[in-house]
Amino acid sequence: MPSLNFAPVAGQKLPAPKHIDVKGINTRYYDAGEGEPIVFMYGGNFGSSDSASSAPVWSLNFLPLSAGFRVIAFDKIGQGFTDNPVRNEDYTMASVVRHGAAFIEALKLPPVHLVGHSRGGYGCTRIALDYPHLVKSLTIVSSGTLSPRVSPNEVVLSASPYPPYSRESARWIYEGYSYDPKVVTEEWMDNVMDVFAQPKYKVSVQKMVEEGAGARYFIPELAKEKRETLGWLREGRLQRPTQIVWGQNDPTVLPEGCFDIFDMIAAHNRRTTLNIFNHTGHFSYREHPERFNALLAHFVQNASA
Amino acid sequence: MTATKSFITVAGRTVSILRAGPDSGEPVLLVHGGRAGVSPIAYGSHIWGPALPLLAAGRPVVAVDLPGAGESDLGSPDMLMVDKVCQHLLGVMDALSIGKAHLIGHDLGGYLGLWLAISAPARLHSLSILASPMAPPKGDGLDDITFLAAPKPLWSRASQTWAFERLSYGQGHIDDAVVDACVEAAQGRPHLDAVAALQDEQLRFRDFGISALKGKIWAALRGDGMSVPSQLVWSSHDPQAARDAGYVLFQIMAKKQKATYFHLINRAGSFAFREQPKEFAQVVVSFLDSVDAKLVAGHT
Repeated sequence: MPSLNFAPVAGQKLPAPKHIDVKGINTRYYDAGEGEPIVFMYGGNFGSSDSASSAPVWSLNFLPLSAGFRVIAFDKIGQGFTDNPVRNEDYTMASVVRHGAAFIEALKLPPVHLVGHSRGGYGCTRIALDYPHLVKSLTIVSSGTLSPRVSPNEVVLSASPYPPYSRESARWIYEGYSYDPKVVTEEWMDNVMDVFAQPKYKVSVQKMVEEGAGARYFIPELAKEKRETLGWLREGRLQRPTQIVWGQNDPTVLPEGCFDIFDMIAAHNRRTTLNIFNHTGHFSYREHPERFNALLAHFVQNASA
Repeated sequence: MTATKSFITVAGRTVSILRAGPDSGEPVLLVHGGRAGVSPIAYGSHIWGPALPLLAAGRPVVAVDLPGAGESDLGSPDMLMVDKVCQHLLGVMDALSIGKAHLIGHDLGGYLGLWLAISAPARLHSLSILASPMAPPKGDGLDDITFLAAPKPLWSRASQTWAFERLSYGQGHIDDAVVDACVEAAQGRPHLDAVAALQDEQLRFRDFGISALKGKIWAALRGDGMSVPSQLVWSSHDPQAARDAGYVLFQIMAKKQKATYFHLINRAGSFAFREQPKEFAQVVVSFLDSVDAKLVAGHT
């Protein structure tokens, strides 16, 4: 284990982003460091006018871990600064998974350590199932999308009292997700506002909401694929070292769900660990970055040995 | 890495310790489990096996034999009681000039750590409770039938091997080294003294004072809670330390201590540190690293 400083350093900035063509989709990503490659996939999905995730949400992990690993954070198709899907019927999780796998292939990376949060936890699990040759280990962080239990996130997130595309709205959403609202920093909100400001982002909302791609494609296809994915996990198709990281106080994905996910995977997969953080909501990697980074570094090192 | 056995004297009693790791760094105190003289395994510092070098990779590790276990004198029968053992552990730390340690306790050792974290928080950097059936609340639980039909004679090679098999998910870790060490410990004077002391029915019913101290533990956790960063490391297949009980204890501790963590290790019974040593070290060392770097919230 290289001796790393796991704590984020105040004021440290992400390197300049890079861009790569992934099967016709211009994809933005951040890439730094050397060593075992860790690829981060954030949560959320295209088409939200209240909040917007993008690759810099991993800033508190990306920078400290870049001292010991090659760290890569990319924007998913239709989110952040990556192109939108071309066709309305590609506004699906399947499309996000295909793009994520194609991105890893395009960078010609050796098998990577995938870290996925929330919907990204589902996406990374699906990449590990569909493209195991691309994956060395899997870290699933607070993923209601993967949990077989009901996730009450809509209760927390519905009917924002603030106008769409506003900083106040995004802050209200992310504070609702968090144990301590103070973790929602201005830097984080700046990143959300950068995403909102792009014309292409408003197009994705137009497609998902007004043109009905969410109701017609995204939601029903995710529901079908989730059934398939949970079945695959129960069959033992996930065959990589896996750790699950959860926040005890996440109002949107209940801790019971992480035990269910652990059971499905652990039944077939020896190297499976579960880790629950106290005083932690949905964004454990931003709420307790130093603890998250230490855990991830030890896990990746063990999975690489 | 080699572990070095040595003996110290604490309050007139000989204490056996096993040391490994570098001279510098925040020390780790390993406290083994088992109810000396009752458990069908003769526990002691020999139980840690492969976990010792993994934990000692970055910091000095001291594994102690509790009174009446391994090669540590029992002294008086009183020394079987948990409150007395906790006082004794502080004496061991004093004798070793350890002001403050990361305490890692398995089974009864985890219970001892919990009481030390409450009663002597200034002496602990952190607390790790490993698969402890006696630390969580009991409720009206079912009787523990794990060792219902232990083969006689107790503490023979066959009987201790059987007990290891009952408590383990995988059998691969039950090697000659650990079984031999347990048989030797069982035949040692400290263990024989513990067995003899527990012939006294009154003492036996006190069950090491575990229940008597429990009320004070809950009162403290209801009150100010713990100031020591803590983690619970439970296993997928432990017949005694049920994971829901561990998770309940986590929730109780977590109410007042921000830096509280719950972990599950797969394909392990009571001995995750032997059965899955690398995954055990991955979880535990990342916590110790975080505490040492003063990165864990709630650190005092």
